[in-house]
Amino acid sequence: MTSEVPGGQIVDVVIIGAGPAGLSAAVNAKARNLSAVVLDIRDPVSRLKAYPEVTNYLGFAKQTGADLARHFTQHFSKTGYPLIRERAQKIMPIGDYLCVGTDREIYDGKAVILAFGAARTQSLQGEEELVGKGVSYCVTCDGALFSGKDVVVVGYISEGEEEANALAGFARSVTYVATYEKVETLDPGVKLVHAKPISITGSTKVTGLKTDLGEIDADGVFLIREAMLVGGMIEGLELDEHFVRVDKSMATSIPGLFAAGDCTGAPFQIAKAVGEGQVAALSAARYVYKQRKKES
Amino acid sequence: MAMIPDQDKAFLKDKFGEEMQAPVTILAFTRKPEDQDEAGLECEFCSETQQIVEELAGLSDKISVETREFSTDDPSAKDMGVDKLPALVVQGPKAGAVKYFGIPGGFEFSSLVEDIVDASRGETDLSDEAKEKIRGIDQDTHIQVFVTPTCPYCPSAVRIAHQMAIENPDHIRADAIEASEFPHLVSKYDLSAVPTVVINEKVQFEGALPDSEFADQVIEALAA
Repeated sequence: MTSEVPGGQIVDVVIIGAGPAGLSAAVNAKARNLSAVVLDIRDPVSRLKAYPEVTNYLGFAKQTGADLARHFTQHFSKTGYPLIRERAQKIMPIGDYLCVGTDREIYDGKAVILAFGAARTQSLQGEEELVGKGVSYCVTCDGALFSGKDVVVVGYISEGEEEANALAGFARSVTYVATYEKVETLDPGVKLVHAKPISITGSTKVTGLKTDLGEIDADGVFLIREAMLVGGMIEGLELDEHFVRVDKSMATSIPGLFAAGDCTGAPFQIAKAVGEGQVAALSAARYVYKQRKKES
Repeated sequence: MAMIPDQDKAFLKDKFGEEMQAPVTILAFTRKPEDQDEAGLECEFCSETQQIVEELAGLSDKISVETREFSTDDPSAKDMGVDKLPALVVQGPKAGAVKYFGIPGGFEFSSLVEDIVDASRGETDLSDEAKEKIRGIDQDTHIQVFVTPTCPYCPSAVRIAHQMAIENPDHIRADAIEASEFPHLVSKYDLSAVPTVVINEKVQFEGALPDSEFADQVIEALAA
């Protein structure tokens, strides 16, 4: 398998997330000769890069996060797997494989490994009830339905700015609520507010967003997070609180779907993520081999 | 300028050659730009839609296109439930119940290609469970799937709806509707997400579901 993934082709494993767990899964999937793609909208191991010091990763008594991150990405690049800069939004079982939808494309895998880190943010009050009733996670999909309406984009990550700019093309007004400091690429037509979102208001339809600085009236609220809330991503996935429930082989409640790293719960440690990434990849390999046998 | 890139054409030619059986006719209801003002009907993407299906027809001698200049008093349009433009009706050997309103572009292009193959074969790859549920439906069922060309999950909902219509052509008709081209329907059904599935005029669910659960939703809507 080269780094080219022709459209419509099913790969052995789709790895969601390029942190320590995802990259470890990739390296181990390669060792088992699987074909794979890795999806992450952010730079690989972006969070690790920010740690000033890592002192408990075996073999490296004292390293900066950036140095360790460099070792991880260099090792990953040897796999030749494509790192696709898109955010996974939905996973659907279709027959014998799993279909992963991003905001741009569909990737089909015989197995999927979830490794997108702990959901740093919990859902907002009112959010889950109003999905499809004005709450959306996908500007490319749903944006056109808000033409002539007032919308709010809540940006938890800077990628939200581009989404807000896209909406400015057809919505009557766009307000960008940034939960982070540095907003750099927002169009002048978008109103910028630095605030902490509290809840989404409305009973049968979205009417606005409540923040610590007051309420903003809106017909639609787009939430752009680093990772999707896992509960909304796949129907029927069993959770423990906010984390993905896994067994010792890192298998989830959905056949073919594995999970590793912070998304399975504490401890939130690099070594644990790397170890789980390996187990998940080996379990996925076993699963894929079995599927192949069934086919032949 | 061609709507379908050359490398896709080569792929599609092979695909149609290998997978199609009976001939398929695509009825294209359009309106010429010069006629639009007079009739008060706008059709932003009629010419592009027409071009897409003509290019498809050029890839297989089993695909033909029949263009109909749309008029509101055309009985054939009425019979087929064509009430907006552009409209495509994909007809295989069984009666045509699979329709597109709006341009079948972006992600929806792949739905159209797969629909042509299914209509030609008169069979689908729905799961046995879903097929059984769908074949048991004996009431008139109209499924409308609202999509946008930039929505990657939408084709899955369109495909399942269309496959249901192919499996039970006597009772189910299924439309894929490009939401941004029909703002009056967006406000009529108060849509704010795609795909949204409307069954017999009632918004039933939003999002993509596996085929068997989609079938359950249809049955639930009919029972309501």
